[in-house]
Amino acid sequence: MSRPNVGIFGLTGCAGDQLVILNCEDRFLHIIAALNIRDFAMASSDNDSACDLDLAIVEGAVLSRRDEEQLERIRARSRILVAIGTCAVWGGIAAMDGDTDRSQLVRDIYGECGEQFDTTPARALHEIVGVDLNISGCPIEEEEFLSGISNLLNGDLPIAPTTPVCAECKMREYNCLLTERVDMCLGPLTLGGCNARCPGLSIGCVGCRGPVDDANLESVTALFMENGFGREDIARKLRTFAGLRVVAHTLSEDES
Amino acid sequence: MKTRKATQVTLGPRTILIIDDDVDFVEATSVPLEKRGYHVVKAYDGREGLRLAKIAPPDLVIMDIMMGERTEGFFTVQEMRQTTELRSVPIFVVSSLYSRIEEFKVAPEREWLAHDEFFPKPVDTEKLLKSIDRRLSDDH
Amino acid sequence: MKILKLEKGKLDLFASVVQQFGEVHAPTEHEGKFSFKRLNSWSEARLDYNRTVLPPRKYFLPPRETLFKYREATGYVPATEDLEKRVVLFGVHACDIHALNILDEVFGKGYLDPYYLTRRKNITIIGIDCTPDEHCFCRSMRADFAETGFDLFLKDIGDHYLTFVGTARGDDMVIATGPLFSEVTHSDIVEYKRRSSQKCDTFKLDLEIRDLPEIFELEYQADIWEELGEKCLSCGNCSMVCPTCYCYDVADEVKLGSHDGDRVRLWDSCLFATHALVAGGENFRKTRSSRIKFRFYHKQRGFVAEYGRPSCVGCGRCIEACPVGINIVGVINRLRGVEHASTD
Repeated sequence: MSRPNVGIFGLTGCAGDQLVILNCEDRFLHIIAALNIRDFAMASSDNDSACDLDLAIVEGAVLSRRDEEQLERIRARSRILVAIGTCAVWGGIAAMDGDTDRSQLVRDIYGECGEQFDTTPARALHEIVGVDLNISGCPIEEEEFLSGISNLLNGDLPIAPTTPVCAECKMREYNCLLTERVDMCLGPLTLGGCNARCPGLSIGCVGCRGPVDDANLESVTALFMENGFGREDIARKLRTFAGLRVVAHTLSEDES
Repeated sequence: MKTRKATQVTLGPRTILIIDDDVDFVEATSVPLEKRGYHVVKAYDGREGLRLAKIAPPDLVIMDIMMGERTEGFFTVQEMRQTTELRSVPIFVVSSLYSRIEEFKVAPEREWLAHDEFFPKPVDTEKLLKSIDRRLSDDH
Repeated sequence: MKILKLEKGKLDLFASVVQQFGEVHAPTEHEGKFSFKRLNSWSEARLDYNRTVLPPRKYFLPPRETLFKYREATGYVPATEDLEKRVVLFGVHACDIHALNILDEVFGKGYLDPYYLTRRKNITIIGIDCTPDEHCFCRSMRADFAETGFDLFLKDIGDHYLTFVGTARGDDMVIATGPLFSEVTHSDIVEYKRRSSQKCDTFKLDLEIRDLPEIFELEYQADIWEELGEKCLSCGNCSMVCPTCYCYDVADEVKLGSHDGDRVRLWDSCLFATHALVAGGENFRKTRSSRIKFRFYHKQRGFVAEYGRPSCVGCGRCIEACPVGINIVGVINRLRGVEHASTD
């Protein structure tokens, strides 16, 4: 793939993942040299919104019909679709409350005029279209993104991290917040790749990178309850970044 | 983003860092040094000495061994040699360790202590000053 | 074997002489936990520690190391800069010394691993004895006394350390230290024997391992494995802290915009979901229960078949590190049918 045509898009989200790409600073020049970025609304005013793309990088969750349509258009014009950020991969913060009826929510917040807003329950990209590669994170890790793109350009499958945050924490000999401080640290459930930055600063992992393969939700919930935390608090913590509905759906898929 | 390293300034007076918890020794040694035109920086324990040396690498270090801890100097010397910008700074060790601890008759071999010269305490000040002058006039 | 004694009060002087053999690293304390780190001063050393978070293995098989670099311009270049670094590990317990001897079997026989072996040559081991706590069971695993694998070993006899010289380098260290070492007297020997037999009685955990391999064979389908599978988080903590775990993953990291890259070696664990995943998508140990069963089997049975002894040394780190309290001693006792044994 020599100098592929690339588009970088954001649906509903904070645009933090696109910002990480721009924040690559001295390596950003390598990125522009290696990729022919044709459509990147956040960084350019000269965008081609119709051309075919070899690679589309999309952040943000799908929260409206407009998002859905935009995503479908992107999928139609791209060979490879990469979802970046926990919102795109898991639904993220917007997907936190999957239980409340959407129209009820809109009415509560906006009153009657809420009816005119185009809003749908939050969904991850893979719930709408086929996704070829997931790079989660809140925001994504610069190194992981760059090596993912490097691998793609070399025709290789990107090596995604598959180990939990716990392992990275232990490798750095940080004090374990689960065994020492009786904290609600989601380290064992969360996908690593962040070098256990938060536990290293004595802050319990909040699971911002989404669940790791084969995360044992039941056992961790039981552990937290043994340590005196209530079900409500635990549920709230678990679904902050990867709405329980999505997590449960994905975990049950793996078991088949 | 790369940080720029401070370039070594070769104009101006040479800096000598003295690390010793013996205040009298530090004063007694810095007076003749300052008279000779050297700029003297003083530290009274290994940690402080290391901190100052890392901020502004001196041209020469005078280091005591027995400070707050009996072997503090050993560890400080080792740490200086591990620090890239201090690796080639000459270290003159002064110590009463070998006379104060009878059974510790070990010679302070150069490879062991990673130092450049050794002066047993009580220090022959003339000899020390001559060595410093000779050492600092060699390199420009 | 040459045996001398060193006055405890002179240990700091000895430690400073030892610096000529390399950078001194010893267990240091941080918020109640211990870990081997380079010393900034002798007072940082905590030789009274029970166990460190990561075992000395981290020096010989680092969590992440570059094996070689490949550059389009120059080809393959082995990454050997830090292999030559001379380090002195001061205060290694017998169980961890046994663990290193076990790793020598794996990396030093058959296919020789040059990275591990070079480090083994350049890192000096000064052992020290210890007091077992409630998680130690090295005595059951026959790892509470180290006969070999150290340069020096210090044994506490009150005001002195009996110093056992294990290698020529250990001898060099004693000679370099000179008159600080003195001859051992008869009363020293009596005191050593007294303390040694006293220590044997202080172990709180006990495990019979002699027929364990057979019991493991018989209990392959036991219910306990399913139960553990439900509890286990697959977090890999037990592997990270284990002094004899040696599984690793190898990956290539390519630099963007070029064909240059590094080949790196990273710690892996059989507990990770993808550990037994192979090309084509087949996963030989898809379920958590199969993975945790594998870990126990490898340590206590598989390793025995290949190397003649279990690879567990009874250091107790996995017991301390498991967030859900899975305890290897409890598991084994339950398999044996020891009454009222629970798995935590």
